[in-house]
Amino acid sequence: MTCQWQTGLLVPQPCEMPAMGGCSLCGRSLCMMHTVSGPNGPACPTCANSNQGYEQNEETELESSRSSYYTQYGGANYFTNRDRQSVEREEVEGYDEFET
Amino acid sequence: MKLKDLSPAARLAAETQAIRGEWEYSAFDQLLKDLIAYDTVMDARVAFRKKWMIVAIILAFVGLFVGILVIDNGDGEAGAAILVGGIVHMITTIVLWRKAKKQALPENALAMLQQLFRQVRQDLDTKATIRVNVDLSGPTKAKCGPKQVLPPNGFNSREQWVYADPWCQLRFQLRDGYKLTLRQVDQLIELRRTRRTSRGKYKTKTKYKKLCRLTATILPPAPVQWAGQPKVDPTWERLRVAKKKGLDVAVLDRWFLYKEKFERPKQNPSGADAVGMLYRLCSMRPAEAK
Repeated sequence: MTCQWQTGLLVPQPCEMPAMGGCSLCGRSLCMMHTVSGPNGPACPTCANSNQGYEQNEETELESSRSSYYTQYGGANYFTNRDRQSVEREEVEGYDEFET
Repeated sequence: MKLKDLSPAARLAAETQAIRGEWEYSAFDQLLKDLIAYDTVMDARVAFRKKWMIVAIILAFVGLFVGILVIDNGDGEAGAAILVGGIVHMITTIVLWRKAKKQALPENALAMLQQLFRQVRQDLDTKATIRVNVDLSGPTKAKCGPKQVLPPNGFNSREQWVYADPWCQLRFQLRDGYKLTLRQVDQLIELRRTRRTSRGKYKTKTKYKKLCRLTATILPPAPVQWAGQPKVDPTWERLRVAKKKGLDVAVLDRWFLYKEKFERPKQNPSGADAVGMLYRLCSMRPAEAK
């Protein structure tokens, strides 16, 4: 059996590493890398984020940011009406070549 | 971490205040880590030298009065030595502080790059490299436009300087063949207003405004029909599709504004802001690509 965790943020793909166990909360089979230990037994990063007492690592951080990107980028008062007018909104003809 | 302790690539980047070329993710992450550690040391040095400079200025003023008193009492040589010593010490500390300040790197920009690539590292094509063209020198005099004289609007004079700093250009390929680019152009506006008080004194106030334009682009490997429009806030974001070499390229712009009264704003869009833009562009890919 392979790990059922989806890796990546922009291009999600199954991990496909050999599963070493499963999430004690949702039952998903997991490899060593995607298993988070905590008070309720091993868990996947999603369950670890939604339950207290689990360790935080790169995978849990990535998982929490992944869900937050879906939400609307609102709320912050970046611009006043006056500032909005000062923002240049020139129309670009076509796509300008990107040179690095 | 001092300059001599850095790896050759990090030392070159710190000395030239620029990162250029093609990088593998692990090497680029290590470079950013080194530069952030170096910048932490440099920031501490700047803070220390600033304190030292303030003390030196106070001592120079005290030395001025003491030196004049000593000269008045007839010991001209000792008085002159106190005066000159105080002034030389003050100038030295100012020079050292400015030198350290110039060597410091913009920590927010480095943190943004680090956060960005740490979040998308699993999506990068392992066979492709990251093309980087990053200028860390900030808004220098060379990037400043001509002085603009604005209508007084009740003040004695209003002058403005605009710095254009296109400091960041990144290009990398995802593992499904799509290419992403990210570009940031900062516009620093320095507004200086002078007015005359009722007592006849002239007072000058300077305000700073930093307008950052972050542009993310997604280039498909072959002609595609984009699946739909992601959430875009028209207040500070704009999405457009442009033609490039027969391909429909989706471009998302986002503006950020930061204001400061006494010094140049140091804030920068975070890596999460940049990833959020890339994330939404990637959501436009046709269903079979997801």
